[in-house]
Amino acid sequence: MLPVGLMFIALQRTAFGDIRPWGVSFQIVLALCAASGVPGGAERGAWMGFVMGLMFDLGSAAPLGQHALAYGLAGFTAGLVNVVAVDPHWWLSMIFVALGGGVGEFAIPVIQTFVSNGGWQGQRLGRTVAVIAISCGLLAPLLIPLSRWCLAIRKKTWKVPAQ
Amino acid sequence: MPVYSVNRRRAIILLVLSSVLLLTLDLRGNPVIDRMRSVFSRVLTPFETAGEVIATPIRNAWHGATDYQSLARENEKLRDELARGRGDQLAARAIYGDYQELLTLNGLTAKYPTTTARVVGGAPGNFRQTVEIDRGSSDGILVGMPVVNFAGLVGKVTKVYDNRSVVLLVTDSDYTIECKVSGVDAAPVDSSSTPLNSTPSGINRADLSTTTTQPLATTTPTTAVGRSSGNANANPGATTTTGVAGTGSGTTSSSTAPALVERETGGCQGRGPGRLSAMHYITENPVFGTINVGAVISTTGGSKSLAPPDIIIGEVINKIERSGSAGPILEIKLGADLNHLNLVQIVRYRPPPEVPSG
Repeated sequence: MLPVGLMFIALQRTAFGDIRPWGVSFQIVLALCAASGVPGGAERGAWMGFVMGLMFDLGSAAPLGQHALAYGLAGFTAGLVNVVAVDPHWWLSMIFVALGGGVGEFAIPVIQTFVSNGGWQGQRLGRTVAVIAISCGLLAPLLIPLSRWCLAIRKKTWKVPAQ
Repeated sequence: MPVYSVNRRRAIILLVLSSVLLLTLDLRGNPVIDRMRSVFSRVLTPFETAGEVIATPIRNAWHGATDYQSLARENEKLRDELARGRGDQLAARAIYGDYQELLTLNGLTAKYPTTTARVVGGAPGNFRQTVEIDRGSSDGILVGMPVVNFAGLVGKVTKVYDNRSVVLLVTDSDYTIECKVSGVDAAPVDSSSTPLNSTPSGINRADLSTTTTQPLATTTPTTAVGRSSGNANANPGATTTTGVAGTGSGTTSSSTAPALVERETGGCQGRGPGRLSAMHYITENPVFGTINVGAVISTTGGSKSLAPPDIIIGEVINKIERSGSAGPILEIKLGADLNHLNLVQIVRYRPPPEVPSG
């Protein structure tokens, strides 16, 4: 998980920091954290998000714990998909990863409001959260298998019980 | 499966508490965390190098697909600006020479040594306006040092590691700096009943020959001294005297052409990405003239300022009037293009507020 996380953080800082469709930088680390909640469940998603967020904070100028909390919430939220379905459909997973991504991105300025003067960006916040949520949802089919591999979780298989 | 199971509740409580603890430790300034960041930055370096290799073609393809038209337009526009800039540069060079001469005469110097750095990374998130540069504590960089490029103020150093530093940009909402407006048009004078050769209007004459924050327009025919850094549309110091019909013999109207002076000071604050920086806390008094679009904003310097004096920040492109005693808000177009930073200079000036006490 750590090398994959480091690679994603490096990509976030190099490629995705510069590519900004609609003025918004895609957050692939956040998307990975949210995606990890689907195979791992809410608790593992939260911890995966927490660890990845800590790494992200260490690699950036953000206060340590800011992204850890936000990404943890993202993983937790996406993991709640397991509450509504034991083996969720791909589209349901996408929706929950999008929700997780949206919650995580929204949490960042909220936390920032408590730890510094800045934070809320007015109308821009709505657009940012929407773009991030949609991008996380679209990336979900790629990132869910990757996070399943990172967390060493086998895909659920169902067997008909022997009579 | 219930939404609020004990394990789940425990996980979320632990997550929140751990994060709050870490935030508190970091915000209070913890050397262990600073060391961890430094180590992590070294660990991340090879991954970033690999990421850069992967990212470069992706980035080029993206910019090629999305920016081609705007680049072509920008290229044309820049050619025009370059042609105009050549003329301005010659004029500015002459003015700068005078300025340096005046500083020398007064025993002052505005020179601080600088270190050139390359911008190696942008802000990875959507809510902080920072860039990373390839110079750090090993190059003598300290927290708080202002960062500029040839177009003006860029920001200030907020974190320093061995071989890199993080620069908070002037557009970040956490960034505020004291600044002043130059190039204010002096108040138009309505003096139809002013007798010829009236006495000076109370302005210290000494002020008329030096750069001051006082208004320089007077009701008497006198020479006002404008600042060279102002708007070049007006002709500083030009004085006209015109007769006014119907006001009786011997009565003239005397008016001074708009002089470009320094006038107001205030606080310049970033307002986040995509939004113009703004200058607040201005108490505009019409008697002293008006601040117009195009006025130049620069740093004030002084014991509480984050940067030395006279670093250009940008120009006023919009003025938002407010009712009551609240002064106007000036929206500023920054001189430096923060979206395309490449080389910057760190001014080796440690602002007094950034020097650790004790």
